[in-house]
Amino acid sequence: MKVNDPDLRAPGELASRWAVCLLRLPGSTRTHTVSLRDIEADTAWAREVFSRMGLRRGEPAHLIGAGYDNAFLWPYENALMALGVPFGVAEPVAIDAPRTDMFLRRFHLQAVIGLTGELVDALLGLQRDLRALLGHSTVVALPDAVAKLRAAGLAPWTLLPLGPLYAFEPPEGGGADYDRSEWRVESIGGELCVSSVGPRATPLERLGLGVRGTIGPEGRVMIEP
Amino acid sequence: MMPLPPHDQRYFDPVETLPRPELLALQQQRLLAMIAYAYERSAFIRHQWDAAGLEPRDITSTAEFCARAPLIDKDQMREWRDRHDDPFCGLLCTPVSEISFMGSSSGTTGDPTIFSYRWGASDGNLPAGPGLPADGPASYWGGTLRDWWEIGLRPGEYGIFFGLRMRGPMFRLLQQLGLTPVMLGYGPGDLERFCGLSRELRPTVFYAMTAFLGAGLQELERSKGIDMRDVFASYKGILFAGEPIGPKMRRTFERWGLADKLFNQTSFGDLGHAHDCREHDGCHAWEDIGIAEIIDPVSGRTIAGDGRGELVCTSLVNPLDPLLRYRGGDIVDMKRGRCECGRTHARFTPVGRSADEMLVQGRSILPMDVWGAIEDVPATQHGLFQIVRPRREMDTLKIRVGYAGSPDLNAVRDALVDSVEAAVGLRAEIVLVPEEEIARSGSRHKIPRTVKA
Repeated sequence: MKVNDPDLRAPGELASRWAVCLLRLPGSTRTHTVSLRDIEADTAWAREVFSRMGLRRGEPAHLIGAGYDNAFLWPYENALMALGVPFGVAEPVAIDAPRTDMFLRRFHLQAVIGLTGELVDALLGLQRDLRALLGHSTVVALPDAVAKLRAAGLAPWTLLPLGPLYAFEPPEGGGADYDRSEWRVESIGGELCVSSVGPRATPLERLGLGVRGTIGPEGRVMIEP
Repeated sequence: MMPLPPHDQRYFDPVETLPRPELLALQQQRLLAMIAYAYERSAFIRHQWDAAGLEPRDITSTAEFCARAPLIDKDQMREWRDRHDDPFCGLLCTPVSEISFMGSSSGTTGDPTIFSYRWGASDGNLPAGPGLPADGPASYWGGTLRDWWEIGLRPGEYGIFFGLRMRGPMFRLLQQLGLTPVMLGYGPGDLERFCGLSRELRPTVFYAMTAFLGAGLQELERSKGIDMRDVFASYKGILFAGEPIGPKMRRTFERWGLADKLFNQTSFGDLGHAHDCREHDGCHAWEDIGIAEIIDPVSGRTIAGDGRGELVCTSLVNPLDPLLRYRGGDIVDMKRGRCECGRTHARFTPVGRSADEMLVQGRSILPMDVWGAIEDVPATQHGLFQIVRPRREMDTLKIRVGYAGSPDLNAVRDALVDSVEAAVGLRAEIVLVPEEEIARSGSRHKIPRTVKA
């Protein structure tokens, strides 16, 4: 595995270093820079994903994610704004569950994006009926929440974080798709690895993600349970 | 990027030093427009004004407004929300489709209430400001570019951003000034990475410092021998948000070479945020953005001029969910004289929240009154504590205090009782718990300083 770390001290405009963040991998973190070009490319992908999900202008949604992941999350916020979808925000942890709970109870949300297992457990701890809260919404959940949501009779999309990118699997399955104009995901020895294809500010080459999975015949990502 | 002032210029916007008569004239002009706007569009505001027998045409000046317009508070907003099944509490002045995104309050005392924001351009990638009137401030994600410029931040620098998302993308303020945000989280490993990144990138601002993070840095200094003076060598400002810095924590940051670089970001009555300037003599309430009054918290009567009172705020530039004469429960010391920095806007220093005040044996107690006493005991020096306040009036002062390590708990308890008594003259009942238990009870950037049980 080879990773090219950019020289973060090099002088440059905001366009070349829009943000610096930590790429969080199992057991390690590494410094990661994104450029404005990266953000714009990821925003275009996010718009495409939300269009596939059928999101509609003017109807509220809920986007859950961590502030420290803004470098990866902002393109999705940006896409919602560009699509004219008003959205409420919350953090993906149990302590912030009352905020998510408030948005779910008080709005008829067209989509709830980024639900985590921790949040689902917290909602169940509040004695909430997941089907009543989420049955009318397009639900996009992280892998640790999907089984619980299915058990409640819901059919969520799966949001699969793969290092610096998100892949999405539709409710009917078939593997998670990602932006192949920017990234290439491979399974090497059973471990998923990601390489950059587009001219990213932080180029990656076969970065091991610490997640076991395979690549389907159509190039979609399947993780092992 | 938007045009910025010359880098050696202290003020970001000429309005900051506008002669006071001109500032008040601008304020009144915006106020009269806002009253008509909000009355026409906000069902909640119209209801409150109708109940007071008042219409916008009855108000012709700021003075009349402050004397006659009804006060509003969060309980009334929540009551409206529940009665009308309206998540915006009757405040929203536009169709929902005009909102870009919704943040919300912490929800410490009930369901979180919503703050709506609108982006100025259709493409959020552009460093344009949020959707504000053409004559409004350049940007206003809760805080303003003015406040960050005053710290001395300039294009090309890095800014550490330990930020949560519920008040919107505050990191965009840094980008609008041409800084690159370095985004970190509250996980145990991130603080050590912060130390390394500070040495590597030499950032100039830290947003937002908390008691929790300060305690973590002290622990890194102790356990790993990290030289915090070196870590912070490049910083122009450390912003404390959510809660003020305790006296002992302040001394620690002073030891790290940051004596004149500690800034306070506080709530401007739910209109947004207010920051202190480099004179550190109160947080500037930008009076072209909002009106800042103080009232007697019991009688509700306006207190003219300087002094201590409950902060009451009115939005002047918010096109989505403006608040008119909103009392948020913050007790402040208000100063209206010209600041040493040359700015002409009022300043206030938060001293507590009316909801946090309790009367113990007739004595008024706020968390800040015992903060230093708790920090003075070595095992509880991080100042992680909560006053147990089941009701306003109590016979006994009960404090839950977080301790670090494995100290002799009886000795710590005795030391705390003595220290608190020296500070407030009351023998407190102390309940000791591990620090993590206190930290878990908050939202990581802020610990509730009073709890019901």
